[in-house]
Amino acid sequence: MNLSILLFLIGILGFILNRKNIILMIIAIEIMLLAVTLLVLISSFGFDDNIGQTFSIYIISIAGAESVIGLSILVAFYRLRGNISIRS
Amino acid sequence: MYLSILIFPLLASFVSGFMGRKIGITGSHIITCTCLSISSLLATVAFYEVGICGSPVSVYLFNWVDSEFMSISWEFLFDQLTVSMFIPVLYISTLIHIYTTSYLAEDPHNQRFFSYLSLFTFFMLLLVSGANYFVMFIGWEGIGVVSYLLINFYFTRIQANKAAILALTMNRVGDMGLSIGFFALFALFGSVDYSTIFSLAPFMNETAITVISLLLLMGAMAKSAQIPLHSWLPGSMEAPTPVSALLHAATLVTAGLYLLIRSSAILEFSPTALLVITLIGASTAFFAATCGLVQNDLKRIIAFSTISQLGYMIMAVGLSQYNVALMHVVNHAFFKALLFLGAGAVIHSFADEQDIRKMGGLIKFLPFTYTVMLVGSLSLLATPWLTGFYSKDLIIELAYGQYSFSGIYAYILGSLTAGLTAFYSFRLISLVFLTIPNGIKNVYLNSHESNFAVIIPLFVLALFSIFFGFVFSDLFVGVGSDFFANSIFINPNNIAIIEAEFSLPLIIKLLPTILSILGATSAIFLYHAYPDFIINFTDSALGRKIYTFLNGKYFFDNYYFISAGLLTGNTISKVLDRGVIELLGPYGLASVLENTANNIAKLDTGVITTYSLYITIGILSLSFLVFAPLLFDTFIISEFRLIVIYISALFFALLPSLSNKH
Repeated sequence: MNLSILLFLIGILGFILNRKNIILMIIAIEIMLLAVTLLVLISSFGFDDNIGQTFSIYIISIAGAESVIGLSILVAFYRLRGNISIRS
Repeated sequence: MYLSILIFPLLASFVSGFMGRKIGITGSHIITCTCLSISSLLATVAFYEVGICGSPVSVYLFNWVDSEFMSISWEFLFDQLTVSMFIPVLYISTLIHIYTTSYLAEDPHNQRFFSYLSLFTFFMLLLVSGANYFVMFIGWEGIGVVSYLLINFYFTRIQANKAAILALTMNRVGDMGLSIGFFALFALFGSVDYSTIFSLAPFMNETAITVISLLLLMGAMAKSAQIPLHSWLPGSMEAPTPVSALLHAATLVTAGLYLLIRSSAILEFSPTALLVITLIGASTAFFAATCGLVQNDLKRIIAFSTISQLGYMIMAVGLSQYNVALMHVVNHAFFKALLFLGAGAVIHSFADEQDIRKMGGLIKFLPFTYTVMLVGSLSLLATPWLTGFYSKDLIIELAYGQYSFSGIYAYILGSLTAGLTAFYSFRLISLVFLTIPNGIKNVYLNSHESNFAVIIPLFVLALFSIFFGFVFSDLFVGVGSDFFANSIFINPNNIAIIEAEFSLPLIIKLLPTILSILGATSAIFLYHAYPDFIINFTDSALGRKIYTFLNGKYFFDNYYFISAGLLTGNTISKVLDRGVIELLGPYGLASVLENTANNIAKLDTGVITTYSLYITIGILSLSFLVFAPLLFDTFIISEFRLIVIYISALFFALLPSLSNKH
């Protein structure tokens, strides 16, 4: 549980403190999602609850889809603008 | 019957004012004089029924203001005090209406004038007959407005405009105090009815009573021309003479006195306020008398005499002798109206000349006017057994009979004022009637006694000035007279009539009279027999200084009010209006809101990471708030305080950093 909270914090801080790189932001979001997934997994393991484990699979798949969408937007954005800097 | 006393003058005013074109000059004369005469007759009956038979009447018309626990009704109270005020108001008003038919015969605005006069009478009657302070206040404001209209009767003259505005603004100062006094009365008593207030007054906090009394005094000071709100009264002599006689000598200026006498049940419970009233009254009496010594305008002398006599009345109120003050109000109304109307007759027959230095020797041309002026003056300076004697002399004796500091102060100033009064009255008589003629020959040839419409009022008023005091003194101010019953309350500690009547040394009793006789003889001597002395005296440096000082009315208007007032106004405007209030009020509020709005707007940077920061901070604060009770183990109330502190701290900590960043 501590590990997952630590990961979540890393994700948040990476998201906030990062000023330029949009790929880093997506990675940070991904880290946060994984941290939450880990938390769900650990909790469900602790509660002996199968639904949590099933649910974490959902999260992972949706997280994969989400990062795909983010990266493809990024690629489209790069084609349109020529750079991926946050501050225009 | 009692309401018709009030209604008749109002109807006369409406008819004369709104239908003046239809009824014509003679019509308005006849209608107003008739209505006023009927009113006077009814007032006489009312005086008999209420005053002499001792049966006060209360008339309830309908509710006026009914809001929560404030209930004010149109209610009238005709008690002994009211009917005693009716007598001078209506009698003098009627006589002045008759007088004016001749005095303003050639004026093009007769209907308007008569309408104003009747309206004034109505408001004055409303003032004295209201059964609560609000109805009284309507009359109070009404006479103020009509006074403005009448002073400004010749509205094309700039002097009349100025005098009217001066009178109105000065009265506003007093009205402000009076209004605050009413608020205080309502706050303290929860009512503005006389009956409620006067029956509760003994049980109230003395400081509160003192504050209320002083606020009421402020209103009375403006209306009754006491220091420092006196200077409108000499100015209002710009009005036609009947106005001066009716408003600014006999009735309007006694409204302040009426207020104080009516509020006797309040004033009696505040020795501080009584002391202030005595000091103001005595000082005013002396001040106005000294100013009157050197005035050169016929009407202004009498105006200063009026202020001086009003000072006597206020002084009597301060000494708790309300019935004596009322007696002096009534007496003074008669002889001062007589003096003014006589002065009007002189001015009219002398080609509208008002400067007494350009008159003289009129005794041969206007013997009747001289006689009535002499009667008025003698009554004014309290010649024994004339009307003025029974009240004015008594006031001075009562002042001594108090055996207190304020009493002695009032006695000394009152006695000196008596001498000065005699001096300026007889200075007027000598300069206008006795000395060698100083006017233009043509004017003398054209001067003549007035017609009957002028002579009859003068004659009636002269009779009143001689006999009224003798006839009514025992009723009004006699030892042990219960004429006023419940309408006046005198604290048993303050009764001084026994002392004044039976235990004063002879010299104390006679001193005012001696000073009066001295003043009168020296005036005749100095202005008639040996005028050289005055001329030589005013030629010397000291004499010139004294003359300038007195003639400039102690420089009250020029120095204290104009320059000091302007300076104070400037300071107040700079420091308060454009300073503190603007900084805190409109300007400060606007700038604070604008800065805050700017700061908040700066939060919106458009950078996604900043937003994520906000979201994170928001989540953190929310979770902090949710878990704070668990962490600190506090009650719900302290938790709520924590929320407030937290949010405000967040807000203020965030603002400067954000505003500096960009």
